[in-house]
Amino acid sequence: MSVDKIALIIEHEAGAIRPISYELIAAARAIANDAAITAIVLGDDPAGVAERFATVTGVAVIAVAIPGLPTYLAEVYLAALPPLLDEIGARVVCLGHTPQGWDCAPGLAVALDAACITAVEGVASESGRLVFRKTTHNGKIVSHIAACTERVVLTVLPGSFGWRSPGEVVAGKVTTRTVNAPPCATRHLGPAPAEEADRGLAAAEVIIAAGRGLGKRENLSLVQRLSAAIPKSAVAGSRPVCDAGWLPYNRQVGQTGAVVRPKVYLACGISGAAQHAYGMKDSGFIVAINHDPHAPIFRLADVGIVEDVVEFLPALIAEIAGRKW
Amino acid sequence: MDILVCVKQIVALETPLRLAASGAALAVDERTEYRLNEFDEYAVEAALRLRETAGEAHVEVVSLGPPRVIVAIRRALGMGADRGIHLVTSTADDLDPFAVAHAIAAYARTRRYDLILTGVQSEDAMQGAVGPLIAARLGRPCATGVLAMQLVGGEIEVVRELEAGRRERLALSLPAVLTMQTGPDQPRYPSLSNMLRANRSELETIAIETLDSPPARQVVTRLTYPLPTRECLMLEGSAADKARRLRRMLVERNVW
Repeated sequence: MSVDKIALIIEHEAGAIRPISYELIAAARAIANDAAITAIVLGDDPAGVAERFATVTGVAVIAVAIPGLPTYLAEVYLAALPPLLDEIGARVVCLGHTPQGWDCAPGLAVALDAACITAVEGVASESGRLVFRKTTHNGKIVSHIAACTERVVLTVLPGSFGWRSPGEVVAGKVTTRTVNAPPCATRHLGPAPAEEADRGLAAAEVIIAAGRGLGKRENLSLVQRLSAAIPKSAVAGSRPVCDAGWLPYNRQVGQTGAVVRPKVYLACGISGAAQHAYGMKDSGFIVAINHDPHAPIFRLADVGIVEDVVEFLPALIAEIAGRKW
Repeated sequence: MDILVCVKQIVALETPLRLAASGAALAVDERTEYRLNEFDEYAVEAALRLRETAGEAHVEVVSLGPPRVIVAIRRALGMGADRGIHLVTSTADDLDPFAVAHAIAAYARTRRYDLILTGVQSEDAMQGAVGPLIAARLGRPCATGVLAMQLVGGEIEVVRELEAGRRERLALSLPAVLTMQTGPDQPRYPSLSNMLRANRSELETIAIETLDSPPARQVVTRLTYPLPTRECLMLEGSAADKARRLRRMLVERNVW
């Protein structure tokens, strides 16, 4: 499939452009370096975002003003985008693999008779067709997926395609139009209260992260005792641990929680699925303790210990707490 | 209130995984362990909780696949769902999400469900596409990554997960499709009495060929193992040896 035209959907909030929007350009260039790229921004008053994106990137932007659109709303996007994408003749449509892009992509694919491949991390050309790469099977496998259709809708995993600002560029052309929102079966009711992120995690030099491998809530005390023995350390957890109520959600590390970069990250009984990896992979020194030698966490770690974490932690606590630093 | 929960049976990903000779699927044999996709367990749990508060609700569970997926349907019945539907495929291979959604939507059209739930994604394919695809096929509103829901008037109000712990609230008119995230409402274990009932209950069985399957839009060409992002030094010896070495390494790196 020769890809001559690629469209990407800019994500923005309160006038700020989300970083993933720029990464979509890098993904588009990886798909077809010489393809014409058109960025699309939808919003109540998207002109400012469109101008800024076009100026910084040199990419042409179509700003679609939809009066009264408070934020992303699937039905509005799904009504407004397909005619525009048909008009552009986009062969590939890139969205972020974010709560917004992931929500929108499948419906868009139905409207465009396109394939839909989500959480894409890489692309290659194999015997004349594009093959997209993504992590699957809870992080244990990588799947290579080819589209059988003329068009493809993708969501691009944040952090997968590095984007560098091109410096001084000729600003892309900005065109604007206004579309009325269709009648919707969904109403946006505003933000829901969420727990404030725990500042302790950002400040900690050592993070000791508890995973499902601890088995039961009582075993959390092992992680807490280890933390008590290590200065400037804090206890965090994987999503299942927070879902189970062992730790509050503001202690969760991962794509839907905090992104941390401590000097040392000690993953205790965490499998290391992509969701979690996103939040800790840039830590200085990563130690993984897991009974499963095939756990994906070992692929992210500097040091691996294949042990049942419940049996191993008492030995580590004895070793660390028993000595003066 | 009629609720349909779509569930997927997957290979137990905690077990060692091997690739099939084709390179495009996992190797399976008679010893392969399967289980219910965890996100779908949360969807079943959410449906059962809604039934508990809504009173009159009826919870049905549908799964698409070869005969082995009956075990996943019975598990959901064991949790407390009222009725199971098996959309039988003639191949053991996974269909693409469009084919899955097409079959479920075609089935759902023959019934009047007020709410269709799925997990936010399957743990194996990790596409998160089937739920919104069903909604698109049925022309119904959809919210993905739902943490909580309640019926308010004729609408379903949901809390939807955004990035970094932020959340938004939406109200969707029924019928609607929701994909459920994991959350504090932990899926219940099947009860013995429900399991006994589940094992006796008749499932509705429909061959998907009768539902007019569309051609595949995408195909998995091969599977590989992920490359390490760091070179991991695996410590050897007894637990005490490993603990001692780890302490030394941390001290040597002068990490605190």
